[in-house]
Amino acid sequence: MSASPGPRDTSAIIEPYLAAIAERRIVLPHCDACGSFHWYPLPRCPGCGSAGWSWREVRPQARLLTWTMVAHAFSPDLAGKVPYLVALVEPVDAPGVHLVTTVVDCRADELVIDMPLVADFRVPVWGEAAMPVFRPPG
Amino acid sequence: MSRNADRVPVIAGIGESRFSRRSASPLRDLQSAAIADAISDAGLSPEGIDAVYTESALMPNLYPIDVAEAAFGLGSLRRRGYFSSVGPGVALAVITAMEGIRAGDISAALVYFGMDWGSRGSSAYDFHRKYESKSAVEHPYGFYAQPTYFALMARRYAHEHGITADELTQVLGQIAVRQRASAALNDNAQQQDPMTFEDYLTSRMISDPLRRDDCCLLSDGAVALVVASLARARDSRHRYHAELLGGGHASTGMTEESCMTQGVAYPALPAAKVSAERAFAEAKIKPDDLSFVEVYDCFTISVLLQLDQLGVCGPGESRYLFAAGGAAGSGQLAVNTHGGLLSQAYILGANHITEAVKQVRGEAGRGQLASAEIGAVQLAPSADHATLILARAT
Repeated sequence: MSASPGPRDTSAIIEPYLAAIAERRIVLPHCDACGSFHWYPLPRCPGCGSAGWSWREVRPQARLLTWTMVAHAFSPDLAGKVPYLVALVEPVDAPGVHLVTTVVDCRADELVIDMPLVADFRVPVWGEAAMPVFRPPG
Repeated sequence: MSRNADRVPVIAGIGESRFSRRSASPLRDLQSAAIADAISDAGLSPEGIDAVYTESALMPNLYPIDVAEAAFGLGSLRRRGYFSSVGPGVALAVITAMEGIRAGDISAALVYFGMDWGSRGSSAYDFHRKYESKSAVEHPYGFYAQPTYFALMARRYAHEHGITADELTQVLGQIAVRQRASAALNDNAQQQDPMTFEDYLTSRMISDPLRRDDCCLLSDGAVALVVASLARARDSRHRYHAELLGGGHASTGMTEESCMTQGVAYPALPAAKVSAERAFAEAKIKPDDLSFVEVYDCFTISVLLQLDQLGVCGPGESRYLFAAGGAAGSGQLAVNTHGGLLSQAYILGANHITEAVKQVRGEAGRGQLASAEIGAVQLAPSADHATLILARAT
């Protein structure tokens, strides 16, 4: 079977994340024992091995780790969509978690690594539903 | 110090298909020919093989061990096994064979790996579709293909080490140009046309800061190796033999789906450091003893990320190896003497191992280094890393 890539092919383990973003909230796996976050969801906390972790909401604030402007369409579906920006951000409440996202309402030449960002919820370049995107505060 | 040549592991035989963008032959034919060549190059016959090892992400579909076993009449195997995925999996197969020779558990192991992503161009990207989390939370943003993963690493790396955009372009371009120059000396390289720095600059942007010429090729091709004892290798036609002095493997503790974005030291590769330290400790040599290193170069930035961990320089300093007067420029440490994944072929680092064997044997043709007594192979990038150290033996 050659399923097309995209948000349809979701798995049960990521479902709580998707359900939360449908409510414009960001939740991440948080260990009840050691208090660390991890990403992507695992059967046990990779920090301490505890099986007791749960989804915890984080504030919609992050810092910009890095970004790239994608110029090449890696799939025919993306041909009309390049160039587009992909970023990695680290939520302020969840150090060590790196979310794949994009930055909006900001020109690429205004981006500064480690700059603070806040979340918004919009349909990303290859998405079908609103997902967390990030923009400069204010 | 006398040593028992029956327990000294060497890569006694190598076989390589023709590497090309699209082969006229199916992968099974390329792989079969490479296996036959490797066994012959070792001076053995199939009956002498008593172990078969390969990697586990691609080979179970493309060329399973049972096919190798049946096709070559390998009827009395003592060991068989699939190791971790892609390049590090091939290296771990070699490490396991090395240990088997040292222990006297096996007498000769066949290790093989092949690729048909040249014919099936989208397969490189599809490789990551199998991870459902990636489909759910990465693909909607267009975070889909490996150049984008490494472009993000490159920009963060430059920031952390105070490298300006222009300086990054200079060093990445140097790596691309030098590897092309090496490929021009390699009759089995896909890209032998010369590349100037100006050519590099004008190659189109793929995912900034990475241009087309920062990205590896796509290839069809197959490689095979035979790991045996030095005593056996001495019966082959070769004057010099490629002794396996040491091998180090280290896992990142991350899953395959998270290892490209979630590293604790992102974008640094601490597991690459651990694997190198394990290999050097076993080999009882220092990084400064190396004449050359064949390093996994899916993208130019990958060369810097891994050389930073090899022990030849400090973190963020590998770029100086490529500067005028730096080790790579002055011939003190040759890097990717075959052209690498960037300009020879994308055989996921299996071709790095065969090149290292050719260099220490003195059989690298026009690309032969004047000094190639000790070299390393450094393979990534996935949820694990591996380092091999080879040395010339007689």
